[in-house]
Amino acid sequence: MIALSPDLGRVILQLVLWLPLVGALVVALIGNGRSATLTGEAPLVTSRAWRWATGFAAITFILAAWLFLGFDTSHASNYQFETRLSWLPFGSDYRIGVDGLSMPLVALNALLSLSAIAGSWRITTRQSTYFSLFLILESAVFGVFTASDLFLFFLFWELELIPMFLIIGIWGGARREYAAFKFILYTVAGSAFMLVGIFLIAYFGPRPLTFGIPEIAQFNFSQYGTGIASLGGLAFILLFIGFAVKVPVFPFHTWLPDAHVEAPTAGSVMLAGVLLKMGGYGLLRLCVTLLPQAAHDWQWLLIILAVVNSIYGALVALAQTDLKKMIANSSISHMGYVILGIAALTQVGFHGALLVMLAHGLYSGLLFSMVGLVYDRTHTREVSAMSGLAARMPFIATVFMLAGLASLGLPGLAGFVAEFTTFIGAYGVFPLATILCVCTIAITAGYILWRLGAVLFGPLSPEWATLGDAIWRERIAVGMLAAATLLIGVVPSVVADMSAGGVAPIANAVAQGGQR
Amino acid sequence: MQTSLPLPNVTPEDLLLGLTLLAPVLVVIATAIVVLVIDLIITDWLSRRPLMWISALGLLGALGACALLWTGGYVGKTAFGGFLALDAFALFFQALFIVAAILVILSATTFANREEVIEAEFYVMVMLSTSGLMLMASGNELMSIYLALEVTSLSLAFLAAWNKRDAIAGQGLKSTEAAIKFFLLSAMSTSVLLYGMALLYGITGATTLADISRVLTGAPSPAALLSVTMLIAGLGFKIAAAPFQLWTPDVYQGAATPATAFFSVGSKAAGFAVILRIFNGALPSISPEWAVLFGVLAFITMTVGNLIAIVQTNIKRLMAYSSITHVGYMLIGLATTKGEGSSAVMFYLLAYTFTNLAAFIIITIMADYAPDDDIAGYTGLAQRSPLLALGLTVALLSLAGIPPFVGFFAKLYLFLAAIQAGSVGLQVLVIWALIMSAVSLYYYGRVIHAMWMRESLEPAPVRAASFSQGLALAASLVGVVLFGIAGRPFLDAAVSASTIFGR
Repeated sequence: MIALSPDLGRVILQLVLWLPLVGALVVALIGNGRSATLTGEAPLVTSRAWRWATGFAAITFILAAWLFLGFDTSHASNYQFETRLSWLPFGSDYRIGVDGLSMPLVALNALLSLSAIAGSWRITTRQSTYFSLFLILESAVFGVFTASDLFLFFLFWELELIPMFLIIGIWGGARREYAAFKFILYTVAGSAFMLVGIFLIAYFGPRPLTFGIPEIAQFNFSQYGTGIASLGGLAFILLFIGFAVKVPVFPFHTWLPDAHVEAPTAGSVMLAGVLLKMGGYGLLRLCVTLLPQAAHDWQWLLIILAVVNSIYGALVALAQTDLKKMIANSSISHMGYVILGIAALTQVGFHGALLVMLAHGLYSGLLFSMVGLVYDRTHTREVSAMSGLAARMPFIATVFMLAGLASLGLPGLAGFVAEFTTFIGAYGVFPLATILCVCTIAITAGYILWRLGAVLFGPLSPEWATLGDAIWRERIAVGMLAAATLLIGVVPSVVADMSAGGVAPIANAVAQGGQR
Repeated sequence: MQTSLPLPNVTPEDLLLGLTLLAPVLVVIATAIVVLVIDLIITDWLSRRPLMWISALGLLGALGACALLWTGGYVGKTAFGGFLALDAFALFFQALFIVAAILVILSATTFANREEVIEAEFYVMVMLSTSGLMLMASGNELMSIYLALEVTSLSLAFLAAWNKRDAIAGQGLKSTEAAIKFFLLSAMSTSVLLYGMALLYGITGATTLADISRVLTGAPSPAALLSVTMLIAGLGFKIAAAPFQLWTPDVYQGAATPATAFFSVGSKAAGFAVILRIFNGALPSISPEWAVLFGVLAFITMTVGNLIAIVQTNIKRLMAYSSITHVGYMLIGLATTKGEGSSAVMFYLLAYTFTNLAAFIIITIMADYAPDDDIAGYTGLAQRSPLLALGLTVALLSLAGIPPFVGFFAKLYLFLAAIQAGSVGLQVLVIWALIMSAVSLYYYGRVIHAMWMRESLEPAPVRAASFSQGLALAASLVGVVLFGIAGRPFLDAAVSASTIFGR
């Protein structure tokens, strides 16, 4: 949309990737910078660590937005702004670039990180550690989305674990240590499978030995045989387990409700908004792109898991009376749509899956932020304990409803575009499974409308009559996400042009893989 | 081949060349003497702090001498009739020892200034043992290797006894006990080693490694096998491979922390340098046999180290068992008997040196805050000093082999080399090593957990005792991160250094 020379773009992309890490160091060194410990209802003071971290996140976001606007959508299927440096001796290079698949996710990460960091101004314990961990997390996620070398991808993937582990384990709720250890054990176990899969692919892949994703994507693994018991099938399932833990896919999902519920608000935002997307991105970028034949062989499993995920997640969400638990489980349900779109193995399906990831990143981040804002005021998340809050906090109620409606797929908001595309893409391939998944929208509408209605509307109990609405910095933090949700809903082409180009080569690879 | 003892025939030109090749060692020894003399003469008006900087500068000079020899075309030359060799292999290790000595000396300030103990001797002994370590790395002949080993052992025993604070407080003289244990066991192992060397000389009539490998061909005789076993037992003590590891925890715990830091990296790396050189340089014809021995030792060592580390409550004992574990991993590299294995071991030693020094510098700083180096004293460290907690976390994660730190890459290269060697036994060993690495995450993680997720009992902030200590810590942490993500030049250096073994 705006002209950006490749050289400048390359520099900006490197800045986007590494600036948060530099910021993390700076924030760690400057210390907390707030002497008085704050208790009570309205600590309007912000800490120095918060200001610096927000500054770094904001600059990173502006650079990422510049990159997003300067991205050439007519060549979205190619890597752009690519940097390549010779690195490790066994065919792994430092390769960073973005294409139409990763660029929107990079922008999503920049936006959500800024929102999460800016929204965390209430943190009163060990702020500088907290904010530097979030900045490390931001860099690591950028690395996952921009690496075009399998080994580099894996390193960034692992780098993300430790900050998230500490964020949950230190600033989490009552059962934080249990949740943190569960999170890290599941993910480390998953990534061990993934590492074996990566080495398997590289070892049997093209010669000379390379970990480059574009080179391996050209390689035909079906020469080693086809079917789920072949080399390709084995590598696919090894990688799939690693990503399935992250997405999460039933039955590897049980870490998610614990982690989301115990994590601090900003941690939940990053978990649901960005970290889950790493799983879906990995499925698209690695599993399907590199092993298209194996994707055909395993399609039946993907379909079953997609249906189980979306229905199971929605039913569990329906049974929750804790707002955060409800949203956590609804994430599992929506991630089922992502798997459904991928399982279709068509271009429209892939496109839908990517759009669901983007839209879910926005509205789930928004939902967790709103639960956090409500909790900051009421100190409860129980639905039955609250009612009529809209009277006291109109801004929070409005944005909360907007996020909820986006989540159930109301036209005009991001969720509708995404889910519609997914179902269109999947229906032609397996109508029954798609219809089953579409039915979960009704369940989603049920739990969203009932619970949000109960909390926000109805008579205002006197207990809550003195509460205030969101203050300006909270409004800005969540307003960005709300605006993006609305924008994608009304003008889908802001991302759809880019993302359609991004998934096109994957669809081509799969189509060829099917004919082999 | 000579009939009498192989004393070399030295001409003046040889002598000059030999002294040139010895320049880094000579600079280190000269600095030690200068520091000792300054300390003797001018005690009253010169504050003691400059002695540290003089030592560090002298060591930097030695590093410069290494660089000059490297660029000046001296690489690959031998001196004193083949007693010493200055090849890329020796220079790699010499530079490593010098850097380790600099970091230890810079970080030892609190310790040396405490209780008004005369500090100069500490620096002097570190430098003298460094000179011994450097000679070990370039020894190309059994007698010179033996002499270098003795120099090192004596000065290390002296260092182990250094914990004067303990002696003054009268708390059971742990460091003296450590020193006596180390000295007696060291003497014993050295005699075993010497017996092995004597056997080797008896069989071959030669003491330079090249001559031995020339004579020793064909199927190994029982005497040769006995000699190999004794060499492994003697050198296994120096590197603390199980079952010769029993001295390690007591000495690590009893010695002053900076001395422990030097022990844990210096004598270990030099031991591996000697093993790599003797076994690859002199005994390639027996490699199938000694590879099996090293493989068995690797299995025992990493299992014993890991399992006992789990129950430790003292951080120095934990680090002792952790160091035993890492020896186990490195022995896998020796068992490959290939050049890739040797270079992977060298890179591993580089990674291990920097990571361990980073950890031990923090343990040195914490000595004032954690009574008796109990892990309990590290509880809530993240609140008392986030940066120190971060530093120790980075070091421990690197030891556990978590990316993106150097420990991960070192393990990666080592295990890849072992897998590529292609024997089933080695592959089983690698799988076992991976399981053991996962186990190690438990006990490293326990310390990390205590630092970050537990409330601190003492609110007082923790600080490094001096600028030089902070500098040494920063330098070693930079190494831990940088050698990982940008370690290619050092790996290439290790690869080219290990080509001297011709395989």
